[in-house]
Amino acid sequence: MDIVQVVISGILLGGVYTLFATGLNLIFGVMKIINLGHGELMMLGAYITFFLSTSAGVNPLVSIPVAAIAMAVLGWILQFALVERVVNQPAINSLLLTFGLSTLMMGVALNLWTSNFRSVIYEPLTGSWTILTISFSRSRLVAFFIAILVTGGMWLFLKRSTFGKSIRATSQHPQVAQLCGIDVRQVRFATFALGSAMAAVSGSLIAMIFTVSPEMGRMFIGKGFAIIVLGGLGSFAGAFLGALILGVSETLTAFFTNTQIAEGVAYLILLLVLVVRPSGLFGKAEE
Amino acid sequence: MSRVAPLATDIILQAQNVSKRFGGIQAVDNASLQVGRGKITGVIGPNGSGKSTMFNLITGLEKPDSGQIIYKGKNIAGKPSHIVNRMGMGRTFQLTRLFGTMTVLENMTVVTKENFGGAEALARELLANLGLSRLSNEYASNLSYGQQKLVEFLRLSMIESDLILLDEPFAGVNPVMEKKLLEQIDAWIIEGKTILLTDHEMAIMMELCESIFVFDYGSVIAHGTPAEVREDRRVMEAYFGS
Amino acid sequence: MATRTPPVTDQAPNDTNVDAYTPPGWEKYIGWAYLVGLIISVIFLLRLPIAADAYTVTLTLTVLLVITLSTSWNWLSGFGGYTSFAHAGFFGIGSYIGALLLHYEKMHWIPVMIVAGIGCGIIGFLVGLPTLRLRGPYFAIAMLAFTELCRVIALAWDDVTLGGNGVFLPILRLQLPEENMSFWEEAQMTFHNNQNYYAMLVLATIACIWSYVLGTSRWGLKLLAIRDDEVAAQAMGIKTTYVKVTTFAGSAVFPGIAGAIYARHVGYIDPVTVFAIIWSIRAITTSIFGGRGTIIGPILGAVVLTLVSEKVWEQDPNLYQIVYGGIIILVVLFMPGGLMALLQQRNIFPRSRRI
Repeated sequence: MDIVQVVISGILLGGVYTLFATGLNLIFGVMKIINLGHGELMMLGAYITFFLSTSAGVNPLVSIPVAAIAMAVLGWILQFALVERVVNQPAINSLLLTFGLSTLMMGVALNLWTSNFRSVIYEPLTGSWTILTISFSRSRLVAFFIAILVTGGMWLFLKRSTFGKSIRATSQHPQVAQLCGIDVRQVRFATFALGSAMAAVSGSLIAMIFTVSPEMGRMFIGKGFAIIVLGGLGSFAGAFLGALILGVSETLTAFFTNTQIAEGVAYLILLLVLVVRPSGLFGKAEE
Repeated sequence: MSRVAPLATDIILQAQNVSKRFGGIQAVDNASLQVGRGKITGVIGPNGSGKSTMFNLITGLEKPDSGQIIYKGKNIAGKPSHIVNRMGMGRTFQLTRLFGTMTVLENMTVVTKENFGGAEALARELLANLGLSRLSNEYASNLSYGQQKLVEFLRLSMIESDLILLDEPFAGVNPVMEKKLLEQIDAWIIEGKTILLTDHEMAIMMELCESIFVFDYGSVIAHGTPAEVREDRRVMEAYFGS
Repeated sequence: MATRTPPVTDQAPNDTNVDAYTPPGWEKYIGWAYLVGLIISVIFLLRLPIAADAYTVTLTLTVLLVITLSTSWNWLSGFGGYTSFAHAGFFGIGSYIGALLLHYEKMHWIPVMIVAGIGCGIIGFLVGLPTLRLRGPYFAIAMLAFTELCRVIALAWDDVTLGGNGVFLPILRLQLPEENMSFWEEAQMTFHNNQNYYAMLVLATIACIWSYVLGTSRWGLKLLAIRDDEVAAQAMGIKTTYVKVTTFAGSAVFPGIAGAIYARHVGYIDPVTVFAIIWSIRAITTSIFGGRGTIIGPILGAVVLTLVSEKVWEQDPNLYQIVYGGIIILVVLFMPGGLMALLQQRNIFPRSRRI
């Protein structure tokens, strides 16, 4: 039963990965910008949960919306002040800009909170539930469901709501969207805010499962890209599938070897897929 | 007249049953054309009829799904564009594609062969012929659109090409510039080069080309001399609807 | 195949819509000025270890290291427009090749440096061949993954790399001054005691000279053409893949050797420090701050930023990342051409490929 256990653990992890990668994907879809600072936005979300629960005694689950709103505001400001200026410039500029942002935010975190690993302990979610001889880590199970709930909510929002439709229209054809009366600038602000909020929620969830540290963002950005190239750009289902594959291959690798090697799985997948099939394994060809 | 007329005995380029599909769009559908050596051949057709894709297939920027492209007796279908270029095929683009942060002179010398010592002298001479010497140290992105077109033409003169493909060279160009471009085309023909061009300026096309292929929905719907093409009912339909 | 209508506004070729640029007459002597400057700097730097204290020598070694990194990064990423995050990877690989050869084989250090450089060149070629077919942003991500993967391999392959324990290098035994040393003996002693400094000086000098050769050559022009319009470059007969991959492999040699020298200099390496993204950050920040795609921009940026950051570093090592991240953002937004573009706009420097 060990293997089943490991696979399930990987699948549960995949839920949180989906949420993280979907935020990254959303921003890329609308602005064609690869946001290298996405991991750091997630890291900040994780710290919000950490500090709210350890210093103020706030229930970590309650801290999630707080983190989401705080990072949405920060995301909006970042887009307004910085990213908006490079949206229609050559890709090299947005790449360098978000790389600078990532470096800056990580530096701030290191300065404020040192590189120590910290963890959030929430009593009701420690331990595990056992169903049919398979035990489910409580925190992972709850994190999985919250992540799927948020990702699903986002999917519905994009599918059904008027504003969601504006976002999809903008990501498919910005000029046409503009001609149809959509305020593309406002859509971009909202997209970056939404993407940042999704990163924050995934950070809060990771804080409950693993540990919190300033370098966690850099670790996750590689996972995010691996998922996106696996699933194809801009696809919700693809991102979910990619995240499950990554989650399961990581836990399996960790099970058969060790966690150090498991950390390399995402990078290996990322490189291999980019070299073998740049359009993604499950995605349709771009352009 | 829809049958393949004996256009020229010496064919430098022959595309046979070439097809290319992008997602759900059949951009080029079983198209064939021939270009006679030393002649000016035209390709006309409405926007989106597959002319530019055909040019990209011939010059190696796209790989055809099926069909052959015989250039100087060799099948070049799917060969990368720098190889095709080295075999003596040069082209211009629909919107000019100069290297923006490079000077006019650099734009012209960068494309020449490695061991071509007189590149700069030749470039300066070509610029002087058209009265553009004073722009030689200017960044290409600072030039007007017409000037950029002209420099793109001159850049083509820097490489040893036997076949030159011109993609809508006259679009957005004023009459003065148009005259200069036409002079350059004449000069190329005198040098013995072959030209394949597409444009929407019907008057020029009819006057310039010896043979014209008409594209619609990715297929060649008619071809022949300008006079023949002009009379063809299907060409009228393609352009004006029936 | 959307309908694109080109702008109809255009002017006859003889119209003066552009103030045609003529470089000043002294532009063609810039190369000689560099040569004189280089000779003076090298002479000054050669005798620095005699005149200055150990701190100054180490600081200068760091400046030379960063010059090597930023200059070599600039070849593909500045001239060629392909942002690479692989410099940290090659730096780490080079330091591991160097450290392990010295650790296991007890070889003489000079051939070890050369092996580290060639090794990185070969790896650069093999990595570049498949990844440089990707479009720019994807290549950048691939290089991020490459660097991280290198770190994981160095950690996991502990039979060879000693894993997270790191590698200790043989200690350099310093020679002590004796009485009545001849000039020649003293010079030998200085060289022996500062061999890492001198190695870095040679490497940085080669990198600078190579930058000039590349920047003023047809090869450099081809890289610019790739940056401006890769499709057009290919259609005009430029072998873009060949140019990119070869440049990438060549630029990998320098961080490789620099890593090996660094390993000897600090005496101990582990995967986390030598594969740290900070090496890429340093190369990128200094290069774009000075002016990417120019010859002296990366050198200028490396000197200025390293000396400034030394002051920051003394106070707080973490502040360093904040400052560098901030500089990247400000440069991209407000001075994309870096210091060199500012100086050229003010006509302090001419617009020239020799700059």
